[in-house]
Amino acid sequence: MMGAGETPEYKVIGRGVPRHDARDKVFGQTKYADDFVAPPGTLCAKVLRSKYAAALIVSIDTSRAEAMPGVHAVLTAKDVPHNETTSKFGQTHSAGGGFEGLYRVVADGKVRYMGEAVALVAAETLAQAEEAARAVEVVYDPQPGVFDPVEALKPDAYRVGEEDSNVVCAYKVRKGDVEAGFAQADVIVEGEYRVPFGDHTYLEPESGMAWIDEDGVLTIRASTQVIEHFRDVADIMGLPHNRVRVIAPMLGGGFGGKEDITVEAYLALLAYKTKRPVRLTYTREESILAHSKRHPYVMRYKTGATKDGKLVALDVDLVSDAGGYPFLSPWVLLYSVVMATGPYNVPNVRVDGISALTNNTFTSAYRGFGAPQVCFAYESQMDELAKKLGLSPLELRMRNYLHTGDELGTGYALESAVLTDETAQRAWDALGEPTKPRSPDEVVGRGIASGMQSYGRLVYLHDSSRAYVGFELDGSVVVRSGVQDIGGGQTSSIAQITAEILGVPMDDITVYFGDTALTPLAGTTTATRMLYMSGNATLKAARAVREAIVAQASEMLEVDAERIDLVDRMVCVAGDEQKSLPIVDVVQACASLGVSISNLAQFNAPSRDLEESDYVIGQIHPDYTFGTHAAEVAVDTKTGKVTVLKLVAAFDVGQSINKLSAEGQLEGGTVFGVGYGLLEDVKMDHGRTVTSALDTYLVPTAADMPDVLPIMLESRGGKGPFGAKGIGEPASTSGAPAVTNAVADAIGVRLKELPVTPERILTALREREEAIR
Amino acid sequence: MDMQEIEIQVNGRPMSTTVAVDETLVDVLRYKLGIIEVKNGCGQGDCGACTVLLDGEAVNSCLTLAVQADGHRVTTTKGLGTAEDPHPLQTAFIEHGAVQCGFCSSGMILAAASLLQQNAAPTREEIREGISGNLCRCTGYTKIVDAIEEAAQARLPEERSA
Amino acid sequence: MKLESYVRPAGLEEALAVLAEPGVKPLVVAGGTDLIPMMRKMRTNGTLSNGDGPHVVLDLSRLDDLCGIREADGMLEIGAATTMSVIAAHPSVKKYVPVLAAAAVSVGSPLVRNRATVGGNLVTASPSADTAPPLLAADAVLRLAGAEGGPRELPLTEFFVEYRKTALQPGEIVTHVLVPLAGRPIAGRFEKVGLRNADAISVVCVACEIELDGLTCRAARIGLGAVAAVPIRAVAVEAALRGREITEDVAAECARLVHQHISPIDDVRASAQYRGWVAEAVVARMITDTAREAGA
Repeated sequence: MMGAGETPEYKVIGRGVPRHDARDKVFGQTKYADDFVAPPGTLCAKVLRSKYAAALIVSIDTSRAEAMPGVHAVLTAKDVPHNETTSKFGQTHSAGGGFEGLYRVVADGKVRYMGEAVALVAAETLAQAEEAARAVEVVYDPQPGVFDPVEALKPDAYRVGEEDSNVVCAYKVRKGDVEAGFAQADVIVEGEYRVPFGDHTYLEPESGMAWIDEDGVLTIRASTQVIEHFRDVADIMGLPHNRVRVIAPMLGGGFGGKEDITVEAYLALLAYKTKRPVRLTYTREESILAHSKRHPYVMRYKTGATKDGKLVALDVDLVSDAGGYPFLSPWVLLYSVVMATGPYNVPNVRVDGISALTNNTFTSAYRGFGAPQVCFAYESQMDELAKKLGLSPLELRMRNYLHTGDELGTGYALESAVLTDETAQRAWDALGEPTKPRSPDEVVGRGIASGMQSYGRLVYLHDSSRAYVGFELDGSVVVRSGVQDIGGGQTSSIAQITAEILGVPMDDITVYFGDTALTPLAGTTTATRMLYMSGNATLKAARAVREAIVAQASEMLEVDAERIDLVDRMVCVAGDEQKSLPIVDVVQACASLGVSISNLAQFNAPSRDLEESDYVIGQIHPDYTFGTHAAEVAVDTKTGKVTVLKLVAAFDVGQSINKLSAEGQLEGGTVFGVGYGLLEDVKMDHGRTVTSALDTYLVPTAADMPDVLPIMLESRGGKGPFGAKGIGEPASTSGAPAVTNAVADAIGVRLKELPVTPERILTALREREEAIR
Repeated sequence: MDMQEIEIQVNGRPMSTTVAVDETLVDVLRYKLGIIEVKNGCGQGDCGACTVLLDGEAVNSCLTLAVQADGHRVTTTKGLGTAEDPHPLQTAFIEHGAVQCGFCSSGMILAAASLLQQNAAPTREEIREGISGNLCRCTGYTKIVDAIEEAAQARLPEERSA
Repeated sequence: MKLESYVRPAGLEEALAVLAEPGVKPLVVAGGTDLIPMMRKMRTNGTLSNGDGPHVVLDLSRLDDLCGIREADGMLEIGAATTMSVIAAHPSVKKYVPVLAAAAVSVGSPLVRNRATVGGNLVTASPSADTAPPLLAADAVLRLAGAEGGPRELPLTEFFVEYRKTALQPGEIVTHVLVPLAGRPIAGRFEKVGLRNADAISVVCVACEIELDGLTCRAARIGLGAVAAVPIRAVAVEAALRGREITEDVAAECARLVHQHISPIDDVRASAQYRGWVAEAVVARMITDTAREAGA
């Protein structure tokens, strides 16, 4: 690992090389899950979903549907071999402690959210499947339901599930003594912050196809971030794990929405029942209705600081809405609780977080995984504090940032590089001269927000990843890894790492990915873990292969191994230009001598076991990425409309593998922030999704965004390959509060609920006008 | 219902099939003609993933009935250029890192081609306006605008005009 | 709805003949940008294939008679099947009715604009049809044609009868939108307030044309969308402005009268209260800006 201050010279690492998958995508060659030719006889699936958010199922009569033309199967809960499983959500280790949870394929006796699957249909055409689904006669006994997590926590609340309580989980963090801390505070700021449901809005809706292959293996090809769900599908079907195969082609986006099982179980059941291939692609409306959402939170923050601007105490209460089923709610809440302090050194901390079931759509993984929610709260608090203290937003933050060696609220001391100070200064400076208002109705403001976000999974999950790297006899290279490529360059990165180590051009490398039968499992594409985990696994495998090649070359050239480098398909010797060999000659020599020219490596992340404790203590994640967003906005005081004028994203990425990809994550993550801050809101009315399509659920268009200026710091102090840190989620964590802090600066009023819409802005402005009168 | 025989010129090649009146062009292209580079992201004109050039004009193929395209020309990204003979937009998208998951890319490139036909030297703001019907969830649009700006500056050969 | 067949007539006569056929229920389509989302909802509800309703899709999008813009008989004549893209870029529209050009370029996205037509926009009669406010402000007239008798003309102000219902008689279509050219260009503005900058349904949409002598208003016409069951003219505001010298205060005072005409609703996009605030504020601002620009 490089030390800080050393600038390494890499052949390809850190350069902005075109991605190999970009070519296929641009020329229209890439096949996503719905693009594969359906073999003759493929049936179309349709899922019948619950009409109610909360109801008992009195009876289901499928007889009429089954008799309809073209219908091959109509399945309900009774037809599922194991309708309920305890899912490890793609992990290999049973961590206990609520990290495993109920996965129910189809509703059984009760529905817990509108959109829950009630019956599955397979028919020859989609129209026939849709008609048959409508003909399934379900008698519901509607129940009152509960739609607010705070209400759901009350003792007499409607029971969403089968347990006595709607509590999914609760976590506490304690550090120091908050009462004593507040006693020392000269200034205290309190606020209640609310954030809404969010939709991932990947451009590619959920899609897949399942069939039984010629060896009788149940095969599912699906747009999924987790091919490891083959285990859950096998358990559901009552099949051995090695008789179920999941393949993930290139995905058209994931962002956490394809982290849980979406279509896989439905397809498996229908394909197994009908003995025909079955395909299913969600409509956009179905996607919004039926897949996981981002957790809404109610967050109460109380922050105390001395008049010198030193944070002394933080008191936080979090309530998250788990929706109809827990899924990853415990994990998300744990992230929030651990990162509730933000990237700040606070000596006295109390955080209580609780997650409750409601009859809203279930909530689960969504880019940021609990960190963006608390970031909105703590960065709003920081600006409020700064105002009260008479300090600039930047100055207050600078006086409190965590540094390497400082402890989080859990007591974990940060091990890797922490450059938040520099990211904040550079982000702020990059805003440049303030833009003048363009009319008398317009006000302009600017804001910053810093964030911290983990990369790598919870250490309790004992995470690991595998990759195979090998030479072919002609000198071309193969990488095999179960990586799921959701668009962030996950497969391209491991090719780039391999190219660096083995000294071959990237075009000489083929990456086989995303197949549980044929590629060593890399683990989930989630938790900003792919570069860290599969990157390190690939690095390990490539280095092993390199070692073998170098050792053999050393013999063949009769020079010390230390003088040998692999560059551009050649074995080169330092200080002797005459002595060189094509790598392929060495490869062939190895093959003849029985020396392995391939390696399968496993990389294990730091791991711990859950302790018996009332509190969350110690190291929870492998590491964190730190950064700052800055924004300048203009607000039309007559309509409340916000124009985003400038955006900066400054992050320490450790070491960028592909410069363009890393910048792309900063830029793309920032747009998620703008969406979260200003536009995106899945409105639910007693469990019914009101914003049902993309004309009412609004994400930013190109006309809503200015250019994003990415500023990449490279501390080389991360735990990923070459000192890299993960960036996919961190880049999306602090965008929203940067924009909303800018709005608050412009209009002089702070809005504490996302999204900060024109209506909310205008209402706040008018209320202030009234108050002044 | 009447099934109608239609013929569409796709990327210069005549293709015919039988369609129902209420079938949309995107569905017919994808499922009946195998033109899978045209994507379906929302089915109602809100995302632009289904963009094609219809007689040279960028439109949402999900908002066009297949019967309305009978006798007309459809151009997809494959009609703009290929790996052997790429369109400057395609080259620029690859080189600028303007492609991440790629699902919006086919449509985005066609919308850009249509823009450059009408406005050979657009400002960055005009580019953003020109692609405002094409959602991208991955890139944040900045590198897409970079790529289109560069392609505009490259000489566009005559035969590229769709 | 049960769509059974598709007809693409070559000329207006043929189209009208299809419309007049007894027992044939035609569904008229041009750009399809409103039709297909509607069909999608019906498909989800299961009502797309029910026996009732239109059977024939009548495609007017290629009728030469209905596409294109020309100046004739003192009128700017816009074919009903002219797309938003063409309208937005047309030199005559930009010169004589710039508020319409501004509205056309605000509809949907560039992709939608290449298909959406002004006729479709008006006939769908959504309260938030963006071409309605400027055409109301321009005192536009519609030419309607049916199989019986000759074509008739109807002021746009009489076209929107109630929510999503127009004055079209059975068998009738809109063939042209006519704007009188006398006295043009006239100072005016268009402003669309949506929740984002592209592909957004209007939350409030306003257009005005003000005939001025210096800073004194001789006549004003103000069209509003998305704030009532139909697109409307704010006649009380117009009357109050007549003969007044326009200042910021006068504009604000007259704009307050807009509440006599609007009946905004709460919906997923905005509340009635917000729409009311914005309608008044935008009308006031628009009046002031128009006068200032014209006076300059």
